Amino acid sequence: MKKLPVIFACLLFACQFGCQKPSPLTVEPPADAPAGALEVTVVSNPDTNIAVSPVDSSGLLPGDQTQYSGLFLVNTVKYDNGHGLLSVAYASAYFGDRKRPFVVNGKTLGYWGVDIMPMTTLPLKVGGIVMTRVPFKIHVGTRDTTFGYMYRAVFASLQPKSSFDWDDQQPDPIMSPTAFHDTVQTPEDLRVLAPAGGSVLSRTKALQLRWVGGGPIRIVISTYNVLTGKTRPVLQLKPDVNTGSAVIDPSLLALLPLARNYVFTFVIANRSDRLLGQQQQDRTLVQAATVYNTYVQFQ
Amino acid sequence: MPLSRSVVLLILAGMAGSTACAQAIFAPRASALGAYAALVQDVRGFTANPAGLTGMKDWDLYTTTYTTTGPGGGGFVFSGFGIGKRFFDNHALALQYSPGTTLDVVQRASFRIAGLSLATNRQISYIEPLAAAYAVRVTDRLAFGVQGRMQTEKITDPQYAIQQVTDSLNAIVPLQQQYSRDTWFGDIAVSWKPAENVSLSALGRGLVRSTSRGIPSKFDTLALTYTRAFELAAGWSPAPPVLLSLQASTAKRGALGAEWNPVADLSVRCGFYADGGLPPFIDAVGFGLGYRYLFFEADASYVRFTNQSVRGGTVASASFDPSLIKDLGMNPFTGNRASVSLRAMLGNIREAPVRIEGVEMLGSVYPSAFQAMAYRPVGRVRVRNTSRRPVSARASIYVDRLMDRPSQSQPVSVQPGESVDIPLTAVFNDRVKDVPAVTIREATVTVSSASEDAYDEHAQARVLIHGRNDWDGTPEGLRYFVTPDDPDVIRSARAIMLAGKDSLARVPAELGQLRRAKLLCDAFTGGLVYVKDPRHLTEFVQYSPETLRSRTGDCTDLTVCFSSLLNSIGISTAFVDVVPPRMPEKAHMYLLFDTGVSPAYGDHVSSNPKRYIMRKSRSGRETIWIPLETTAITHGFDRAWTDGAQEYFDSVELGLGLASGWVRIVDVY
Repeated sequence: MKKLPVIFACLLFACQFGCQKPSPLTVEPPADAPAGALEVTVVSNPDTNIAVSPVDSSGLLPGDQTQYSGLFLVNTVKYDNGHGLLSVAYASAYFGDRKRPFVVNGKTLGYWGVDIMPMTTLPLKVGGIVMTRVPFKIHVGTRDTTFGYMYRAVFASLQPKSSFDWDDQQPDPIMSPTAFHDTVQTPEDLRVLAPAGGSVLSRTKALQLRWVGGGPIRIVISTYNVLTGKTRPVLQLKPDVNTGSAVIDPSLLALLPLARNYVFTFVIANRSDRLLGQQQQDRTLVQAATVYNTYVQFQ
Repeated sequence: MPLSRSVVLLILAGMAGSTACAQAIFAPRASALGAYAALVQDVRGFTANPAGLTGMKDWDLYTTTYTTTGPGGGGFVFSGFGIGKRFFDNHALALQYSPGTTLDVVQRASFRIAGLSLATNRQISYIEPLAAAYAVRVTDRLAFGVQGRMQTEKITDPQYAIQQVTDSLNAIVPLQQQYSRDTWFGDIAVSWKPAENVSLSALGRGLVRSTSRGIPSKFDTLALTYTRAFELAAGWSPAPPVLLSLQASTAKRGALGAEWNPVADLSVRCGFYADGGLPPFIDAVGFGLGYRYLFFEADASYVRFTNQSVRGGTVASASFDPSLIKDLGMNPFTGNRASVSLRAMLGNIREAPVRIEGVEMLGSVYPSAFQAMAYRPVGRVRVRNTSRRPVSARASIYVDRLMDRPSQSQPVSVQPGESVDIPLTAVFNDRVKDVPAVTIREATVTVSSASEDAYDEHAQARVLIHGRNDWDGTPEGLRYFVTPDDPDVIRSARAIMLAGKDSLARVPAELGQLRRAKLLCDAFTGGLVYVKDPRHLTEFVQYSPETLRSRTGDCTDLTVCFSSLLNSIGISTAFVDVVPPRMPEKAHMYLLFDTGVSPAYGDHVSSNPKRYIMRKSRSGRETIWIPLETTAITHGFDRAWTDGAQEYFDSVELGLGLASGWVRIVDVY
């Protein structure tokens, strides 16, 4: 019994002075991939019955496209599959009339493409170039069905960091009571250094991404069907700061479906959002983007 | 082995290998000194050298806490506790629970999940929660120890999956994976004290290993490296208040430490840690204090690393290499650490300031002279004061059955660090006289500080005990065979006196003693036979009753017998021991007895003055003594006197034996 005070003293000593946990050693990721600097979003695929442009050509996720009635795009798109670099520059304008859906078997496949340039004397211009009205086609079964109009212009190339003016001098009296004018600046040129097109990558090793091109960048990882050429976006990565590099952790790569072919779509875009019609749903996205697609394979 | 050669070997060993090691930073005393292995004597930091556990006294309790200073530091962390127990004198067990011996690593992820608060960081925990050791002391200077150490690795790896919430909506859900595995290490240690102020130790670390499965191979880069290491350590106390230590490992790590006691119970410590693998060479410096009060001991230490570059709690991934972590308490990522501990010693923990350095028996024990052993040392014990205070030490000796209780010596003052010899005197009981022949007995020699009842240390010594009739060959030793108060002797002498009372009555009073001696001797005329001793390793002497019963004996037996008889009737006797030079085989002994006659009346004794001797009697008065050749008593008193007088004249008067020293006269009583 005489020893009890001693034991109590020892326990008291231990409890009184030892209630903290040791501070952990924090291991910071490499400087080119700061901790938490990469925001990861799993890409939801909204009602895919609605016709949307693939992300590898538009730089827009399907969900982004369905949020807008109108899309005014000026894009430079590059394709790198390891056998050469293909570059395309184009502008397109489409405005869907949400009151005129195209329904097949109860499913809405798209909306009527409003002719926003009914008078040829006052054409729709982008960067001073008259855009061409083309039919807006919706893919139904094995065939395409024309359902309204859209406008396109093709360029040999687009100068980076140059302004493009959208100029609709004859507004649709129904959609917009005033003339439509907007200006968008093309972003910097974009060149992806890693992964190179045609690379064979491992899912269990951290993947280094490197590119040249400033501005707000997003990287969309999509599966790619080599037979149909269709892509299906899975993840979108958005660095907080464009440092020209990022590292994808293996735990993220593990999220990717067990497909072999993937396309990494790097997008630097300048965007503005405006209300063109009278309804809230008539929001229009004006975008100038540089899109770089690099096609890879995962082991 | 000279100390210098040991030091060289240690240094060479430190340069040789390239494997893992562990520092005992768990204990503040250990962390302050750095080189601690050779100094382990209790449960504190015993993983540095489990063999040192045999230094415990009884129960040993120990708890410690620490805090990390500087960037990344926090509050005090319960480091753990240890408990040890010494049992059966030479065995010791110890257990250490150390949840604070841990290194938690958070690998921050470079990404975050949008809109969700999912943990994306990977967490790795390295823990050494348990250690257990057993030690055994083989000799006073040699001990062995084995220990098992448990190390646990835990990895929490965040994983994710895409879950389809609706047809069009996907979400990321966490699938956090946790992995864990335990590894047990087996170590073997040895401690050796070649001298009282030198201690050496060797430790084979990680000689045996058992690892459970549980962590996938993809995390191999996060695993700690498991390799064997060999550690050597030395401790040296050049003077009692100073202690120096040195330690080296095949893992290219080493340390130097020093401890100084400016006053009793207070210790000041410092140490230097060396790392031969990574610069800088001196990678840490330790400081510490220790204070002891009764059976409590408190220690404090502070370890500061010379390179602070990666010790702020945050490190770049390129700089983080788990293979650099050889020890969870001390590695390139450990921050400066302040530790405090409390130790309690329980049970039989009395200080033992006095230690036995050696026991020497000064000769054998002759039962005939057992009374003399109470005053004459039978041996001596060399004791050393190992404390920091002067102590009063005493020694005792005990021989089972032949002694009633241990015989204690007088207290002797011993200064700190001093060694002194304490004589051992033994009080035997009467049973020692029953020992028939030479025998060897174990004697227990104990030493203690005089103020304490309990002993500090004990040792065994072998005592040669002769048979009851064995004689050491000296006339002084022969005196102990003279037994005038033996009932048989008294009865025999009184019977003779009674038979001759008539003749005694006619003798003048001043010649009474002479007459009684003559009467006594003549009673044996023709009744005694001279017989040599039996063949024996030592001289064989019969006690007087034995001679009286057997009526046989050699010169010593007869001398002893007549000495006993004469003394029993009040006549003083003395032995005349004659050892002629260069002729020891002709050594001889005969008797002198005191007539009590004054030299003035010498004519009354004999007309020939060469037939008697004048010497002082027991009363200090000079009287006439008569030599008796006891072997001639069978021919009567006169013949024995004549022969004795002749021998005395030849050896003393002519041969000058007394002056030359080969004749000695030893008074019996």
